Amino acid sequence: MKRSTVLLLYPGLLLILVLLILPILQMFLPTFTGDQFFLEKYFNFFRSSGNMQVIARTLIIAVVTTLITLSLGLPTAYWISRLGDRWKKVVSIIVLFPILTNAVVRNFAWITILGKNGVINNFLMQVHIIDKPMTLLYTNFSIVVGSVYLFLPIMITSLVSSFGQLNFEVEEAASVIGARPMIVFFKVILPQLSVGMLTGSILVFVGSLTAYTTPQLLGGNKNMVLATLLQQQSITLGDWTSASVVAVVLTVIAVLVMTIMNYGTKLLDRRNAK
Amino acid sequence: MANIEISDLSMSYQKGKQILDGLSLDIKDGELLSILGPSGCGKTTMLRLISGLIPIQKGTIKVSGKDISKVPVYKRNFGMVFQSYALFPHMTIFQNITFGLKRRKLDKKEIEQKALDILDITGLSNLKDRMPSELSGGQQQRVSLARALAINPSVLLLDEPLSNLDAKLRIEMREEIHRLQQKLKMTTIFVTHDQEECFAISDRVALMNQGQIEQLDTPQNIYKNPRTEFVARFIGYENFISKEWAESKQWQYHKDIEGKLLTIRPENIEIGSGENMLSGKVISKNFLGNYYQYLVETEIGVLKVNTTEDQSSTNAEITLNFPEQSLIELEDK
Amino acid sequence: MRTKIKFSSVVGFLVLVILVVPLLIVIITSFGEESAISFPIKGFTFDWYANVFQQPDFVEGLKMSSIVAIVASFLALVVGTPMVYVLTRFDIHHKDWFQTIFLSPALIPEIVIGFALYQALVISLQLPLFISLLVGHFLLCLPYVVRLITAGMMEFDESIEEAAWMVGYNKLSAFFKVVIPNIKQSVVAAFILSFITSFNNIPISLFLNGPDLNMLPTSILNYLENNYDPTVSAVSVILMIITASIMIIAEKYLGLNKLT
Repeated sequence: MKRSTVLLLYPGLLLILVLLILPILQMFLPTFTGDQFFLEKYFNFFRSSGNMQVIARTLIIAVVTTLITLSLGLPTAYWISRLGDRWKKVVSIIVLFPILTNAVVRNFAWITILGKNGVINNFLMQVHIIDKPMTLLYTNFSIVVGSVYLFLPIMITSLVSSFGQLNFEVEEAASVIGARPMIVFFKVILPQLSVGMLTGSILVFVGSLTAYTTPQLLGGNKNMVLATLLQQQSITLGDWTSASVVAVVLTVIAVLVMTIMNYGTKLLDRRNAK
Repeated sequence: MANIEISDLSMSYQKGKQILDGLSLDIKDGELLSILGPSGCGKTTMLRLISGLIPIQKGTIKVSGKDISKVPVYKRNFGMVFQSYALFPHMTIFQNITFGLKRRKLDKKEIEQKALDILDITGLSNLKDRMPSELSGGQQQRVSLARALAINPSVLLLDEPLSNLDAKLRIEMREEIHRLQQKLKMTTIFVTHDQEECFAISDRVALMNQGQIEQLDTPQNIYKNPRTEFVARFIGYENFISKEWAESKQWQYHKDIEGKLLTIRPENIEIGSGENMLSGKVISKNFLGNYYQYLVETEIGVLKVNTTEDQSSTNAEITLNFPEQSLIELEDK
Repeated sequence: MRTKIKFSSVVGFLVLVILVVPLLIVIITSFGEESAISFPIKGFTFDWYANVFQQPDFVEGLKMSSIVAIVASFLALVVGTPMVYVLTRFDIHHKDWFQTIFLSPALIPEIVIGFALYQALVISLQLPLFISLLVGHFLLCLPYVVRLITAGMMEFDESIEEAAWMVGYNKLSAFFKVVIPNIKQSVVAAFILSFITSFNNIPISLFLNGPDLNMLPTSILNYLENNYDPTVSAVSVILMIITASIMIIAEKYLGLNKLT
């Protein structure tokens, strides 16, 4: 009886193996061959300062995006979690709507805002603060803005659910014994939120690390990240092996970050459970 | 109707923990047998093995002489009432009851008639179009019972059916189960950890401990003559006396089995003199409604004594009497 | 205490404004008469919406994106639900291991999945593009199905299923008559989320589309490379309307919190 039901797992397992794991392996393997030794292609990749710049840019954008979404998300989530039921629902809809809306749409919105003839430049020129349009679009800045806009709702959502489990009585107890509000926030509330903060950070960090649409639309050709580099090497230049190297580097970084942060979440979970 | 013969039933989980250990038990046709024991003693596992919800590892179960080990759960035709009621939340009460009947070769009229009969004898007729979520706990459990009976099962299995109900409903519901069982003369196995509800309705009780049956007897016999220290403790014997010590004092006691330990219920110890006497000092006294409880310090340790009358006070030196018929010898284990 | 609440209200309110305003700007620019996007707009016209439907890439893309999203979500449910059922109901050796594999498509960057599938399925195996695209989107949807159905199964009292076995239903019919109706909400939620995820996806489709196989988001991306006119605003508004409709349906049948 048991054996036959376990069989139900195998079609799915087989599908993932054949359709995902094998193609990934097929992509990995050619990158580990070389004339001198098996890591040659990676040495060449990392030796290029252009490539190192791309990696650095990718990581920095992901870090900055995570930090900004975290610092904007925390007060927002706190505010939402203390709203009355009706307002909470309205606000949740406003937060959820962008998550479910296509990334092209959301990035396109920032083209119209940050562009040479965009909303910001037009406004600043009209009120004569500047007389020449600023270059806001196709910069690292615009990628960060787009990424923050893309991932802020996701951060807020994970924080709100973590605030939902928060024990506000602890906060009251702390203020009853005379702790100042700021101290209450940092010493009492924040530790309880650490798991939610970490979960949100994983989603945002890995999301912006691997994002393609935002750097493509808002970064232009000069400000490459790993995902756009992968697309350029393969589709534009047709250099499949180099593209595979980029893909491996991107995958390894993403999986590594996720594994470490997931492990951290588990540790925190266990500590909080005690 | 059916009798059940369980022989040498063993069960262990993958991690090597033995849940049932060579257990044998016969259940007579039309009997209500309770399996009583603390949590973790294996009583639920045993019921699930009988029901077929988990496969038998070792041993056999025969129903009316036929080995059912290979019969899948859905073909056993047993009725089961679950602790959590387990009603189908997406069906009305009527649909819950007819769900099993639809699997049987009956025409629509017969199904409806059978369901209405069951609703009638369980007193649920006026609730038949409600959804389970609209019912109280007691009503839900009644539906669960009705659903189990509707398929006209050869055996009725009850898995702690009363433990989610409040005290008053529990008594009402156990009477209901008893009444229906007597009326239908259905072989019934009732799993519980509550000795009161089990004694109230059972023909026989199997008291389980660590995967084995410690004692199988009528409720009266288990209450009056527990065989082992475990059984005695489980059903409220709290005073244990070494037999060697009792013999040295030439005490008289109820001899039935051979062991090293004697026991007596707190309410059977008398304050005053008699055949088996022991003196001690009252170290605490509590009024517990229908009786007084004294803790008495004696040369063989602190004993618990319950009396209906207020007979002494703290720090008083008293003499206790242990009536011969109430002082029971226990088997070694 | 009061100062902190004030601070978080101000930030929270500003964040909401930041979330809403860009989308409002897109909506407004879709009605401007000028052929270059400008804000504030001059004049008022619906022409750009008409233009959306004159772009074969957009019309075909909308059709194809919908078909792929529906088929991929359906496949993910059909494959994923029995797997989750077994994983949550039975004591299985290496349970964590299976769970990780079933969620693994979410671990690997989407763009890498698209790239790897293109090499393996399209180049090596010479599979038709449409099949490869379906595979990619199926993999994309699977983790959502696994996560949501697992949550649904955890909430479902297994004695209810056992009760169905007891009254005479074998495992298969009990699964369809009792388990599925009771985790229906999770199944619907999984379908909706899978649909949206697939419908909105770019990185996987990027590698697996072709001249005769246009997905709407990648078509918009391509259009933006050569044009910058309010047609994009108009098609964005259409996408927002689709999102809103899905949210209304989800709210009506499930409650929106099921989607997060």
